[in-house]
Amino acid sequence: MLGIALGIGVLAVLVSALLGPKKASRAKLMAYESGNDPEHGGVGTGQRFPVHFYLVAMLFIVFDIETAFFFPLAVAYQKLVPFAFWEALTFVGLLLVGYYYILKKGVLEWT
Amino acid sequence: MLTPPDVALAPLLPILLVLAGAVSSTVLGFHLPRRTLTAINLVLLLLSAAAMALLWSGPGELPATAFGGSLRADNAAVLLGLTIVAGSMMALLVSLDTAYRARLSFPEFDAMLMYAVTGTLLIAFSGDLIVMLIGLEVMSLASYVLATLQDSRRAEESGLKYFLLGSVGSAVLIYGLALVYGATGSLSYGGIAAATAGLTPGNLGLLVGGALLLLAGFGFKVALAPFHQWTPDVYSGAPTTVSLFLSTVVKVAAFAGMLRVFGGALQNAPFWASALQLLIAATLIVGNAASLFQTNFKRMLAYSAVAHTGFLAMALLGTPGLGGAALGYYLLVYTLMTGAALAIVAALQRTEAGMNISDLRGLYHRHPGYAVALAACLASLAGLPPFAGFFGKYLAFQAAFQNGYVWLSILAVLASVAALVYYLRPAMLLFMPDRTPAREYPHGQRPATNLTVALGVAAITVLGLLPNLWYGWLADPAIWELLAGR
Amino acid sequence: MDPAPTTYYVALSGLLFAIGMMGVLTRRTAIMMFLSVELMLNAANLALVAFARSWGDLAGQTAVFIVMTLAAAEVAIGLAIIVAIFRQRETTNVDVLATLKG
Repeated sequence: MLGIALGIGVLAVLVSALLGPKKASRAKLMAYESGNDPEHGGVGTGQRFPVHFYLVAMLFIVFDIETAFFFPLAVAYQKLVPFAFWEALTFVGLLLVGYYYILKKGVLEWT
Repeated sequence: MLTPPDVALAPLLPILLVLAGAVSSTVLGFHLPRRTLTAINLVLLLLSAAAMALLWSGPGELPATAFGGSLRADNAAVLLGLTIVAGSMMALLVSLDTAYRARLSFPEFDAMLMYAVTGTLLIAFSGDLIVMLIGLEVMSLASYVLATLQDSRRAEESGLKYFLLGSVGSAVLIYGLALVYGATGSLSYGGIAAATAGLTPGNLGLLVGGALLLLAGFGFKVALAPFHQWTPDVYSGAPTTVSLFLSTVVKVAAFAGMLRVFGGALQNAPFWASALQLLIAATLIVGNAASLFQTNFKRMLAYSAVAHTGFLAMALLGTPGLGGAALGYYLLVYTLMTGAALAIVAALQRTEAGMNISDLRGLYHRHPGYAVALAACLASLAGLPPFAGFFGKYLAFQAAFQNGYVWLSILAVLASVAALVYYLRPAMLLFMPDRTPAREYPHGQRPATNLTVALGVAAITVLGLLPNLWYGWLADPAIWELLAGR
Repeated sequence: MDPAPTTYYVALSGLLFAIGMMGVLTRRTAIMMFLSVELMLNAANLALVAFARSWGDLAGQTAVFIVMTLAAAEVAIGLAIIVAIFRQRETTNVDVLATLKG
């Protein structure tokens, strides 16, 4: 069963790659931006995001993942001893240290 | 209500003190001058060392643990932790003199160094694979930043290489961890060691695969050939103070992790030792051969660090009792002699690329103190008595030899004879007549570097004459046979 | 319907790990190498979860949490280094970064 399923999947991809017509047209090569014409030729063809954008995106990744630790805490909160609260507070405190550093470095200032 | 976790402050204290240094550097760095902050961090490291010394458990005492054994402050942890603190203090002291000149960003340098030390201590104190992994990653991530900190093309290139290869190493290691967990159903060293005895053939296969992946991952971190390619580029491309830190403290911590995992958790697992001996043989050949052909002194020291990885890893092949003690002794000596040699490079170099070996000619006539100290370091690195490097090598070879690795021991002896050539060539140049104009960085008082070099050289001389000052603490085999707990 | 045996998950994770490893060895831009490393980490996560289920043990699942955080931290630091290099040299092809060798 698994072999047949795999075989059909692989075959479909292979056949369409081998037999399908490949005609590049301007519309096909254009970057996809939700149906609108790409501005400035599209991302990667000249226009660049300011570096500042990357910094903020990176900060978002880090702080976003840190929140993931609060989900288990919230689920088990009723069963936890008060100690868990102080533990979580320590964790938030350490995050605040990072936040203070970012503020002082001026990463969040949009000029 | 669940039971509160078993949080004990005493075994955590050395780590918390270093973390406090890291956090305070992050916050106070905007308000305090560089030297004050470094001084605070030095004091915190000393306090951490004192806290570790207090954790020493005498005969019959049980070691302090926290989090249900996930953190073990046993004697092995204390001894490795003290070695780590010694190396970190050397790096910080040298940075007092050179960080400004090297344009290392502030306060990031101090903060990242202390975060890295926090990670290294977590590895030394780890009682299960998760804590080891957290420590290893905290250390590695901070080290990637340290290698990149200087705003120069060389530093950025070395940082990217370190990062890419280091993260591959981490990924391999984590996959190995997952396989070992799958084979044994436990992540704690004790649980894994207990489960290795009665495994089904399927699980045994998983365990062997996991152990080999862990070995490869650690191979990346300690620079065992063929996973060593990043080492010379990173050590010679990073600012010298950072190279000092990376080649001493980070390597000690990675070996501490290997000791915990292979000497403790996987000590009865099959097959990894045979693979390790092949890696060591390759490392000895590659490291020593490449060192012979270097013209840049800093790069030669980087290759010598690779060669020393081979010598150090031989101790892992010994029985846990003998090998652990040998590794513990050799790691401290290696830290001191490499640290002192790189401190001298940091003080004398004109640029962060270090100096050429030929520039060392006649150094004795310009800086007699540095020349004598450097000669002592080189002799110790080469393994000549009466310096401590000799005793370290002897112990490591003996550990491997007594456990039946005869051909590897012979290869290691041959390799260290070949190593004499590249260590003694610069050492002799130091005392040659002075025909070249001075090529050292001319300015500046370097009291902190002088102190570091003096202490390091004094220590390797004294430890060479009276090895039992340090080895006496390590010699009890019980310390190293209980790496995984009871 | 029976849940799929652990072997399937482990095989899939092994496949993902191998694809990631191939990517690291063959790709020459830093970003693609880095993406491949992330794939290897997620392979390890899948294996950890599968093993945790088969042993009926939660430790493996918490390990996944830790590894996810590590991956995020690695992304942040890796992208920071890559951006710093790109600003200086306009390339992240690792073959061009060969000032240091010998």
